This record gives sequence, C-alpha cells and structure tokens, in this order.
Amino acid sequence: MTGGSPMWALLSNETRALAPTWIVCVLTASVAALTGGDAHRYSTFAFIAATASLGALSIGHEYGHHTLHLMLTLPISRVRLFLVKLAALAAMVLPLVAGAWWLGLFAELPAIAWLLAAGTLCFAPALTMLCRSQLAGLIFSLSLPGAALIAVKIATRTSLAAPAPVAAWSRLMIALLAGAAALEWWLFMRLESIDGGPAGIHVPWWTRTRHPPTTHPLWQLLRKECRLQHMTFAVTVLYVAACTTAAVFDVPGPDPNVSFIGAVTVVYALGLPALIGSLATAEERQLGTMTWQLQLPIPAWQQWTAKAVTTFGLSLLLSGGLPALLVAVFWPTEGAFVGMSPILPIATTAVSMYASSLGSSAVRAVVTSMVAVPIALWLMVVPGALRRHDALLDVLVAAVVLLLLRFAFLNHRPEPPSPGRIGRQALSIAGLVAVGVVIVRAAQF
Amino acid sequence: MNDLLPAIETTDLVRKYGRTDAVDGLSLRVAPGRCYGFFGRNGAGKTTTIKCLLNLLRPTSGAAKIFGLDPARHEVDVKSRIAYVPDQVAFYPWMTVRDTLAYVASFRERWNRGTEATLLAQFQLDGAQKTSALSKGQRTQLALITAVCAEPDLLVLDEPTSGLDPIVRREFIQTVIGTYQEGAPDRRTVFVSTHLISEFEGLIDEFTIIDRGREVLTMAADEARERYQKIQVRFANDPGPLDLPGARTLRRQGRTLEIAVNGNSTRVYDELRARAPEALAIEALTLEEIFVSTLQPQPGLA
Repeated sequence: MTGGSPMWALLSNETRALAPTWIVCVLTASVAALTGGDAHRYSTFAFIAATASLGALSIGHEYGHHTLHLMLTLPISRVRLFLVKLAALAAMVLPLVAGAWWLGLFAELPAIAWLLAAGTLCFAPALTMLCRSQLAGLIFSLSLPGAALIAVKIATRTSLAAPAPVAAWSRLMIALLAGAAALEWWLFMRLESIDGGPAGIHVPWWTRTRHPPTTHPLWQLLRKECRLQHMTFAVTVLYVAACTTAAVFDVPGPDPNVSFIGAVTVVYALGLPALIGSLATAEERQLGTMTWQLQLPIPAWQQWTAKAVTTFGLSLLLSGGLPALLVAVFWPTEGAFVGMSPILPIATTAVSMYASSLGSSAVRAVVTSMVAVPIALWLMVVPGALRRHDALLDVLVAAVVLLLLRFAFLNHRPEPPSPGRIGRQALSIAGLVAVGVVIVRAAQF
Repeated sequence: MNDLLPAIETTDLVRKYGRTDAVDGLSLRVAPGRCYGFFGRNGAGKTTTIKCLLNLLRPTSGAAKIFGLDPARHEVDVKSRIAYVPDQVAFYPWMTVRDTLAYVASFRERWNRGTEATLLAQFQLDGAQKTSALSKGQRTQLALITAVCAEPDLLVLDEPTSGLDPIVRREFIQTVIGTYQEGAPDRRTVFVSTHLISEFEGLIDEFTIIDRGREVLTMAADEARERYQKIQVRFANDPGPLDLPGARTLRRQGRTLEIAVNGNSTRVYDELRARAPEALAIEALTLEEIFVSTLQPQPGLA
C-alpha cells in the first residue's frame, strides 16, 4: 500500500466519526453519577440513548455524509470493512458501558449495562441498515427490548416483577441479539448504495392526497412539517401499541416505580419532545430540501412559525396529552395522569430545535438535547440553589426557550452555522442562564 | 490472458426498484483500452447500471462482470482495478483535502504523487482546506484526483463534469482523461456516463445510448459518424413536402432544410441533388446530434 496502513486509516476514521457522540456519552454518564432523583434518571436514560446512538452512527454516519459509495468502493473486502467498523464500535462502547457500570448507573439492574452494550453492537447497526436511517435504527433498537418484554409478558401471563418472565425475557433477548448479529452481517455484506435518502419509516395514510392540493400555503407548510415528523408518529404508534397491549393483558397502571408501562410512559414522555424538536431543521438539511423551501415566496418567519407551532403542538399533544388520554381510557382507577410539568417538554423541545439547527443529523440533535436538558436541570435545580416550583424560575425557563428559538430561527439556513457563531450563541445562552439563576436565587433567599 | 477479457460486460442486466425497471435487460461489452461513452436521458438507468457494475447495487437478474470477474464474489480484485467518480461526490467532513488523499491512497497499491501534486496545483485546491468547505465543483475535482492518482485499469465516471466550470471542464477532459489513458493506452479504460456529450466528442471510441433501462444504440464513434450524417440543402423555391425514405428533418427554415440520414446518405444526397438545389452540403452528425436524433420522437418525413 502507498500510504499508511489501510486498517489504521479505517480505524482512525471510524473513531473520528464516533468521537463527538462518545464524548457526549462520557459527559452524560458523569452527570448521572453526580446527580440523584429526576436528574439522575433522566441522565441515565440520556446515557442509554447516546450509547445506542453510537451503534446507529457506526453505519449511519456513512448515510448521513453520503459516503457509502466511498466506503464500499475502497479496495478492501466487505468482511474487513465490517470487522473494522465493529472493532471500532466495540472499542468505544465496551469501556463506556463498563465505566457506567462501575459508576453505579445500573446498580439496580446491572444486566442492563451489558444488554445496552450488546444492543449497541448488534441491534442499532442492523436496524440502521434495515431502515437506511440512523434515527430509525436508534429508535427501534431502544424499543426492541421493551417490545420483547411485552411479548414475554403476554406469552407467560405472569407479573413482570416475577423472576420467570425476566428469565424468559433474558433468553429471548439473547436469541434476538444473536439474530440481530447475523442480520447485521448479512445486511452489511449485501449493503447497497441507494440514492434518494433514507427509506425511513413513513406513516403517511392521513397526509396523502389523491388530488393536487390547492389549500392555503400556511396549511401546506403545516402538512409538510407533519410529514417531516414521520418518525415521531412511528414512535407514537409503538407507544400506543405498548399501552393497548398492556391494558389488554392487564399490566399494572402507570407508576414509574413499579410498572413497566409506567416506565415506558416516562421514557416516551421525556424522549419524544427531544425527537420532535430534533427533526425540525436537521431533517430538512439531510433531505436537501431547505434551499428551495426557503426560496418559496413566503416570509421566512412565517415558515419558521409554522415549524415552531407544529413542533410544540405535537410535542405537547403527543408527549403530554396522549399519555393522559390513554391512562384515562385504560386505567381509569389510576385517576388523571398528572405526569410532569409541561415546562420540561417545552424546554426539551426548544433545546432540541436549537440542537437541530446546528447540523444535519437528527440523531446528534436528539443526543445533544437529551444530554443538555439533564445538565441544565442539574445546574439549575439539583445543587439546591433554587427551589423547583417558582414563578421566577418559570420566567427564566421561558426566557431561555425564547432565546433558543430565536437562535434556531437565525440558524435555519441550508448550511449549518459556523463554529464561531455557535460559540457566540452558546455564550449568550450561558450568560442568560447565569444571570437568571443569580436573580432567581436572590429573590428566593 | 486477463487483458483480453472485456473491461466491462453485462448480460441481460435487470435492476428493479419496486415495480419500476431502472435497468431492463441491458447487455454491454466494453473492450479494454477504450474510452466508452454511456449516454442516456435523465432517469434512463445510467447510474443504476454503474452501481450494479460496482457492486453498490445488486442486480435483480442478469450478470455484470469487470475484467471477467463478478464484482460481488471477487470484490477486492475488482475494486483494486477500478476507480469511481460518482455523480454526487461526498467526503468525510472532518478531513482536509490532504487527509482525504492520504486516506484513499492508503488503500491503493499504486499512487502517483506527481499527478497528485500537478492536479492539486492545476485545480488550485488547497491541501489544508476541509472538505466540508469545498464547493460542489471542488469536491468533484478532488474526487477526480483520488480516482486518477490511483492509476486504475478502469476509470468509471458518472456525470464527471457536472458542477465544473468551463475552464476546469476543458482541463479535466483534455488533461485528466487524456493523460490517464496515455499512461497505458492499451490497458486503461474509461467508462463515462454523461449527457454533456459534446464535451467528450473527440475522446469517445465507442458508445451506448440507453433509454428506460434498455439499450437503444451501441456503435463505434467513427462508424456512427460515417453512418449518421446531416445534409444541408437550400432550394431556389419552396420545395414542398419531400418524400425521402430513411431521412428526417432536423430543421426547416423557409427554403433551407437540414436533414438527418441514417446509413443511406448517398441515396438521399443523390435524390436531393436531382432537384437542383442552390446549395447542398453533407457532414457527419456529432455524437450529441446522434443522441438527440436517436431518442427524440420521430417527426414526419422530410
């Protein structure tokens, strides 16, 4: 060979591709280890999602950067390509999960740590290739263990807390992981470089029209925004299916401490706003439609307003309204589902919209926002500097949300913002938060 | 022995996307050492064919071979002998131009550093620049450098000049392809898919025109120029409708006609001369005119 070792070149390239997300994982694990309560739970969930995203990005970054043909035409066998990718992924994931386990992130159920590692290595890459979408790979690899647990619950007709279903679930997961590993190999050996972007998952039946639409442009924009959220609807369908199945087979009601479906509800309600916001700008950049979209003869602020209205509307409706409705229907004795304050989904949506405006990868935006929110929670609430339920704190959150939306609007251009601009915006956000915290603290004490 | 094998050979190649036949029973044979044009309209199946050749897509049926080898079964042998410049070029955004060249070079047995330096200078590419900061044309230039410096036996170019400015386009065609083939004229094959046919006029040895995934015409360029000719004729008065079998009007402006003929130029020429025109001239059609003439719906006879 003419240059350095090709294996070394491949390994370093893979490492470089996954490094930013890996750093985010380390950061999230650290926050989870340092915090307790809601911030700890949220950070642990963010850590799981961020780690799984490494698996999705392992293949998915080739889709995202449109470099699949470049990788596949390198004069090296697919077997070696696959092994190098897997080795790089394993070298990054295994120490990460071992570190998280050592830090006690999974103290209640240590097996989750190894399930996460195995799922990241097997489920996420296989599902990313199957769907030709890193976002779909991430979402479905996170959903699969839960779906398997429901399946085991149905098959065994026993309580989830009992040891037998857990053992059966473990056996099923091992079988699924083995199947996913084989599928991963098979898909990579048959991997195709197909134009036209990701296949994705589409839920289009109610947005499809038989005749050319002639409705108002703003209505068209709202419809377009809904179509961009196809992954959101796919996740919602999964959640509704899980709730329905749980209700039919008499799984206990939504209490995060004891119930499986309660845990699913919390994960869904926390994760969905991050997903919805993350799709806002990044998905359009990824599709390459933003340039002509912004050239349409309608003011940019109107386009942005339609986007923000759709994003926040869906976020509140699907992450707050839908769980409350399902609980009222399926578990009426549980009373009204209070859940979380709407501030958290609103703040998460705003953070993820801003993260989405920084690049063209919705997965990165999801991970970034899921990490940013617990860090913000920790900084603002956990150290005991501020009391949680305070009107001034709500004002501060509202101010930060507005600033994030302002920056997201300014960044809503075909090309992502420059690092300098991102730095200035980050400083402005940090400055506002710092000043706000000082004011709120002064008012509280 | 292997050098006698065709550089590219497809047999009844079919590739479907759902119900759509992107490539529909295509058979090609490209001899080594040729510059082969692969022409077709947008959506004709050119890129899909190329991707099947490179094992980037699996054919639904039929076979594709490169130098007699199945690109799926002998992938490394095949990939070691080819270089590909896609229609939409992309690189890893964290790499600089020089990183990218070093990255690709690390996989190659051969890498011509002299050509690399020459082309970098010729295209005025800054080695320290990030690939994410390159324009579309500059990314194409970088892709061309990565392809040519590897000195492959087969250079596969999919719309290589789209996005290039006219100066670079001319340099690319004359310098890059010319120099590449001159290095080993009997061994190095260029397979170029384009609809900017006129720019490759002097380089193409043989070509295939496809439409809706099917072969419409395959011919050596010289033979095509002999066979497809254009007769320009001007009459003293309006000649009225002309009955010239095998000929068709390319353009009619008053008493002046431009007529395309396919293999029967002498007979048509003689018939026109018998009508005592004011002026009569015959010349070969360009490859682009042959392309248009082949794919345009046939209008009425001249």
